[in-house]
Amino acid sequence: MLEYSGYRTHYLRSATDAEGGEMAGDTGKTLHLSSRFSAAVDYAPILHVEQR
Amino acid sequence: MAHLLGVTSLVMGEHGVGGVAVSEEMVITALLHDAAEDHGGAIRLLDIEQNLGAVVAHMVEGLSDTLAESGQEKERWEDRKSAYLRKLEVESAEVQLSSVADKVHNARTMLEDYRVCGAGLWKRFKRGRDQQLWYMRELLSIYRGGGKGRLTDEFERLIAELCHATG
Repeated sequence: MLEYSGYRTHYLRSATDAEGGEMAGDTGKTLHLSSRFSAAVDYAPILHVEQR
Repeated sequence: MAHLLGVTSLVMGEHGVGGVAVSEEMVITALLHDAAEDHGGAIRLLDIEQNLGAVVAHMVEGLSDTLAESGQEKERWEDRKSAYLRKLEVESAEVQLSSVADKVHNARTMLEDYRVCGAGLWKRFKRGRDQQLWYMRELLSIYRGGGKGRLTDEFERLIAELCHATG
């Protein structure tokens, strides 16, 4: 799961560095994700650490 | 953290599949759906609004069964869950989709854990098997009221499996 997290975070950050993130799902439709999602990815683990 | 990512993955997987259009705000909300409930309540919600916008904060609030601040005692389980059911019933389809994704992931994890630790599973929760299953069925009824959906169907299957496996 952590490996998945790292991969996805890296993937999205790479994409958002270009022209806005996007991710094609199995449906062939594209879900557009911006740097706001990357910000949320950074925000969520902080909460996790606080919990521990 | 695995749960947050799991729920986010389920919401993303619904993009282009069902009647609800999955937005970036919904994906972010899935990632932060427990943030206010488990990490600071109303103050956390305000922080989310400032950092990620009012739409996300509003949806996170819709997924929270308490806004008690850290250190504050939460309401009694039965009162909290009953109030949340009433609240969820009038929430948007977007919030309900994130909610069912959360419950599907929880139910899958419970089933996996039951296979490992048996009835000891229920000791991890504030309430036991019967109350947990009651809550899941009530949630399912609300999701069904919102129409059909893959995740709702999956949640129904998981409840049946959990009921059968742990009975």
